[in-house]
Amino acid sequence: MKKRFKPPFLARWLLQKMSYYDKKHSISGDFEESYKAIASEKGRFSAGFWFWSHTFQTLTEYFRFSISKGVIMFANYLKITLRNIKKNKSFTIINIFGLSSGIISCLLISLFVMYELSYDRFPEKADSIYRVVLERKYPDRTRHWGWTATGLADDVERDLPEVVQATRILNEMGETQISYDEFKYIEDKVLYGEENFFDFFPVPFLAGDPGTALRDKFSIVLTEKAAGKYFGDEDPLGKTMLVRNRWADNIPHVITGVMKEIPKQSHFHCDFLLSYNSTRVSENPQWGYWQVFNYLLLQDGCDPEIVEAKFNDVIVNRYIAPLIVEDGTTTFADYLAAGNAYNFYLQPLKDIHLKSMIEHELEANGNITYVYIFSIIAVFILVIASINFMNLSTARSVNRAREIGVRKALGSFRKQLITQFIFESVFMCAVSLIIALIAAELLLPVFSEFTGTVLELKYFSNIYIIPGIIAFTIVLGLVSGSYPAFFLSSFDPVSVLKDNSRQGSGSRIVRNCLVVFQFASSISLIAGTMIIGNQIDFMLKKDPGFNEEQVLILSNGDSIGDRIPVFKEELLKNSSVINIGGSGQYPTQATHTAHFILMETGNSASMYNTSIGFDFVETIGFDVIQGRSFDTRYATDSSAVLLNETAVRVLGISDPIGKKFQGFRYPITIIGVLKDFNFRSLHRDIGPLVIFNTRDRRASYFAIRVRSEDIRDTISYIRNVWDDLTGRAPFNYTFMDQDMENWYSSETKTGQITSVFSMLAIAIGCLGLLGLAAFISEQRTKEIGIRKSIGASMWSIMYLLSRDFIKLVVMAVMLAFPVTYFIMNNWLNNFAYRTGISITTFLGAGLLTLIIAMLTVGYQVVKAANSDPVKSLRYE
Amino acid sequence: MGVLTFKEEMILAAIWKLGGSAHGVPIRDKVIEISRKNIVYGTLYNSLEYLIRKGYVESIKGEPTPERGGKSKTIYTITVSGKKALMETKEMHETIWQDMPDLKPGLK
Repeated sequence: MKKRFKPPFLARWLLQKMSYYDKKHSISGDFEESYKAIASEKGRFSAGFWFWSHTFQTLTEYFRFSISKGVIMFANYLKITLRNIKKNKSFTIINIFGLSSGIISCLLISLFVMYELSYDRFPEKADSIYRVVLERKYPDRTRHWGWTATGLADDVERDLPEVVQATRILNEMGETQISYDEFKYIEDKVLYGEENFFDFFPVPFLAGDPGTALRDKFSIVLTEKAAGKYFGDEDPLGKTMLVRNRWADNIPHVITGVMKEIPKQSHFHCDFLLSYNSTRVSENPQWGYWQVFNYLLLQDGCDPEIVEAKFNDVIVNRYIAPLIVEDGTTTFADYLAAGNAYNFYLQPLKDIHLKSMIEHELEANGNITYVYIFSIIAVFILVIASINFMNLSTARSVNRAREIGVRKALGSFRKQLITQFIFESVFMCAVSLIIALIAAELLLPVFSEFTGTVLELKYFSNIYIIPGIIAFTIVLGLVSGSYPAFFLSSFDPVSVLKDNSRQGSGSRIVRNCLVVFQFASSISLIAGTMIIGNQIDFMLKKDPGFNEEQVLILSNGDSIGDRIPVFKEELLKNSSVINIGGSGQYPTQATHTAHFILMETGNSASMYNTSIGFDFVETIGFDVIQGRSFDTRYATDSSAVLLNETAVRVLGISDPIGKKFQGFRYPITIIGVLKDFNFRSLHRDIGPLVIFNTRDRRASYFAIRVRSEDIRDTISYIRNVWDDLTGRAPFNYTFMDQDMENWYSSETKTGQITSVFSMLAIAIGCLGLLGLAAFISEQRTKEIGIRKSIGASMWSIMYLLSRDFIKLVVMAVMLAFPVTYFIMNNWLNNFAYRTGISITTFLGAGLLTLIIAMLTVGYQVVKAANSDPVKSLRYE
Repeated sequence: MGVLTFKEEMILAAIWKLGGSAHGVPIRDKVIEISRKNIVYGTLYNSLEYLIRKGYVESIKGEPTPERGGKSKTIYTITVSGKKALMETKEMHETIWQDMPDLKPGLK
């Protein structure tokens, strides 16, 4: 009978789950009583129905109740937290300031890293686009070439079914003069692209049809910005511009399109895009002419390795081998056996910016190593800031031991105490985060300019960002708050209330470990900054093999044409002009290579080549170590060349003077050897170099050595001569030493960023140390008082207090050394010419940290050591 | 002093009508009887929770009885201030209804 009246089991279980109702209001009993009454009156089924429906309705009431109760609890935790913050203002400020600067740094660096990582994402098919590059092996060295053959695109598109499309980009190495009406400028951002360029790189058009814009010979597409520069508000479409460079001599080009700027995060940029069909190389695609970038669009999901394999099997044998065996002196197999090789490989478009470190890039690329370095810095700073937070909370917690004791004695549960501490820590994190986000928003423009990027905080661009930020705050709060929370709540109220001196010792080891880690990170950052600085200094100060100071470089030298002797003569009339020489490429640069064979011995080598005019060697200050340089007095010098030391070595000859190279229209005689100089940045080693004579018939650049006084007057004098001779052609000049500094701009930037952030790391670390020192001296107030009253000197007390810190810093140095050495050595290996890492760097960094730490601690220590023992002993 | 809501007023009145102290089941029955509307235990508890916090009602655990399947019961007792609040509410009602013109003639 009784059993039949049992209410539904599941509903009863639900009722019990509403534990608060059950405990406070005896819900199960009330329900069962009502159930029984209804059951005996109306029967079991309607009672069961009643039971279920009321259980559910009660459940919703319970939820409502729980939420309002949660709000009340939250308000209570918040009240205690705010009370604590008010009580410890300076501590709170240190803590929040440290944490928020940590978050700001981490945020800014992350944005920068994300920016670097998201290059070349704008083409829809970015995942299937690859650039063909070549690993060229010679018997004695290996080179990586970005430029590949002009014939590659057509043949590969036809021969390999995996390749959907191929496109070529040609970058104009010299300068291009573009004019419209009276507007005439020298443009250096000019590229040649094929008809299908925009299939690969879909830059939005403002006018014109991207599908056909580059189809016709002598068509030109310009960017919005360039259009504004030449045409203002006029519609440029259909107008003609005159283009003058090595492919065209003032040839009219028709504007077929206006495009938006190429996105900043692209591995190349240009203001003008000309039809590739306008160039001479387009008329005769061949495998012997290597000067274009070849991009391939592979079929969706096609494995690039398959294509690479085919390249090195089919393509090399079909097209490269015939070139090698052309003269019949060797077979391709023998050629390979001698240590030569053509290994083509495909670079994914998205990797070009960070991972491609080859010759002839379209633009200076980023470097994945910097991304790693910055990421490490970001993590370090955040960890340092979090450790600070933990350390300060833990240290201060000892002062709160009594509060805990009293609260425990009054019946607080441990769970409530833990919640209170975690709540405080999450609350502080949230406050720091909000401050950090506001500050980051304000600092972003400055930081963007500093790094040369366009960074944005886009909270809504990604659904993970806001939950991510919230999760980050909570996790950081939990982690930083967990140690004090669990450690403190475990206090035994009796012993805490009786005597609190013992409580600190348990946490000391943990705290010291954290401090050591913090300082090790700071020292690594300082040492890293110093090493980067050393390397930059080394590169800037290393003798390049010529004197780059007080040298003016004039570009657009082609405007002078063949009147170079007149130009030189006119300039030298001014006593401030010491010397002048023309050159075919930017002075001291050489980007092209060719194959040279010695007539006498048959020795051959592939070498860089460039060309210079008379007096150039003297102007720049190269050392002639054998023979002589070009001289107008010898008529035969028109067919003479100079070599550098490396070239002599590569050719394997001992007496180069008078030897001839074959294979040119007339034999070319070696008349001198120059001491090796860096014709490229120090990222690369010095290669073999052959220097031709322009015979002062033509020069693209002029190097002019001037006296240091009255440079302004000298330049205006040069300008007058220039204007007279060229009829006011664009006059562009730079200083050679500044240009050379720009070679290392990426390193300088890295150096600046790391130094700013390592200073920040130190500052954050010291904030923590300051708090810690204050805490420790407060803890030992009584001890210091007693020591002083029995006659300890101030110095001995200072020694006593600072000894611990010194120990920690020394340990940190030892920890920092191997990690930093490993990372920085890796970075330095990027350079052909690099400094070493000396132990003194680490000692210096350690000493610096120690001094800063001592200064921070010193204030507290002196204060403690100077304190009046009577007062400190009365502290209780 | 806070004004009681209609629901709270009914619950206090129910307890007082039940002799100043009662457990959940009779209180609910009484409230249903007064208001002629169903009320869920959860709603009742939430209002009681408020009345307890305000100090109008006190709750103690009572002995379990057999008709409750051996489950314990909570007995709610109205306090002095609870009585005062009820009285003041009553006075307020009387003030509202004082000198009230007859409502019926206006109805159609």
